[in-house]
Amino acid sequence: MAKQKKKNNWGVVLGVIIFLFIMAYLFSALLSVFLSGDELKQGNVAKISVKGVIMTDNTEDFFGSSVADSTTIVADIEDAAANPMIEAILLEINSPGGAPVATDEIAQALERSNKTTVAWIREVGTSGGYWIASSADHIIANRMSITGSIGVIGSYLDFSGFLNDWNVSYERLVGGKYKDAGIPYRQLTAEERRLFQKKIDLLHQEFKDSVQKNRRLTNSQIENVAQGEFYLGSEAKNLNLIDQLGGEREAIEHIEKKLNITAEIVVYEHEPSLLEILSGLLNDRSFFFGKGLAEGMQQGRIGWVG
Amino acid sequence: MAKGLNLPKNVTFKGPAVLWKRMAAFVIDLIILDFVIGTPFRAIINRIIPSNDFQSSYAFFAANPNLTALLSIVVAFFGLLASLYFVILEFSLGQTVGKMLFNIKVESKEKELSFLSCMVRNMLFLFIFPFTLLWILDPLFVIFTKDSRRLSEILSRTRTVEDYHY
Repeated sequence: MAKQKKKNNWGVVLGVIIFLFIMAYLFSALLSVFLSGDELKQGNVAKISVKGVIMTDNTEDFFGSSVADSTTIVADIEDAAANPMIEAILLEINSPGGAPVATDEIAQALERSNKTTVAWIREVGTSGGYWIASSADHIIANRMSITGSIGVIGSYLDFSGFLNDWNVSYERLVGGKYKDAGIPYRQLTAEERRLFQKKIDLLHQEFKDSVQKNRRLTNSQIENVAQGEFYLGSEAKNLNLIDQLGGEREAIEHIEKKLNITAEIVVYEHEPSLLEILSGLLNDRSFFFGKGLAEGMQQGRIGWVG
Repeated sequence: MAKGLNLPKNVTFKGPAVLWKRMAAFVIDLIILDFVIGTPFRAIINRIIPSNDFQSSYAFFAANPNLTALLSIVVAFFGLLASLYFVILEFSLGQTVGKMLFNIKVESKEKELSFLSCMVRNMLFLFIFPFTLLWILDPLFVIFTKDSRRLSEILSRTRTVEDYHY
């Protein structure tokens, strides 16, 4: 009887232990599923990506290309700058450029950060992508990377001839003579052309001034490289547009040597958690598919740095 | 000659369990809890808390305030499971594994040991204020009370006992 009771007691103990183990396991598994990973950043070198066309929000462009969303990137840079565990920021750039404000936001955030910054240009780091890279303390690119393209583009398609051919006319109703300047349904006037060129020149000057200051170039040097020409990495090194040829390994070695640390990379990426994936099904991305060609093409792109 | 006194051969009575047995039983229970509950949580805890010194960890949490809330949730759940271990086993068997090994058990000053009394005597495992005060008050009561009872035991009207034979 006493033996049976003892056996039952151990049975109860085992049951309780198994129950608690399962509860603990389920809870930690559930936590892992719902955590996006953003919360669990550790390491002393923050790796932040600038991939795709640089814009101020994360709406995909019409062709579904990836977008380097400046709001998120700036938040990551500021987060890394404020984190006392982080000693350096490694910016991985694979971008042809993009909108000027978004580009400037990222460049300024990088300049404001009080950490050692290294820009690593991979396949492409042109125009706005290069503008951002130039704000870093050190730039590394592969000898075959495409960089430079220090210029501004505001070109667009003029459909006025096409509409004329189809006997479609444009009824001009504006308040303010420049209000419809740049609309693709009529040709630019000479005055409007001069106006746009002036704005583009201003943007171009901003770009040149920033690169000249960041790279410590002379006036003649900056005029030479800022004609919109793109350069391979090996050419950019000779023109003092980048500091070193290499890749990620060289970037990390530079950081370790400069700061006398062993680099532990923490990647600042935004994998959506399960909740974010579920809520993403309800956001406006679901409706973009039905928006149509006309609305997508009407997103004006005057003065693009790229 | 003491004939016919009919003295009992063996006497057994229940008395307060000695302190060292209670402490040793508690340590064994904590080891079991660390293995059973701690193991699944270890991966998450290691990812949340940097494996550096206190100063670095403090700086890390200062820079990541959202992690403090996350850690609190993890710790609270850990405490809940730990208290369930003690509550369920003491209610159903009067003993935890540690207490079994040292032949000590929990009994109530009332007739039966109720679930509520087991919960009250194990409130200190709820890592939430004000229950965390019991981590200081319980040992103080053990030291300064006559029968070495914890405050939680006084509040729950229970005590830890063992059999004394002579």
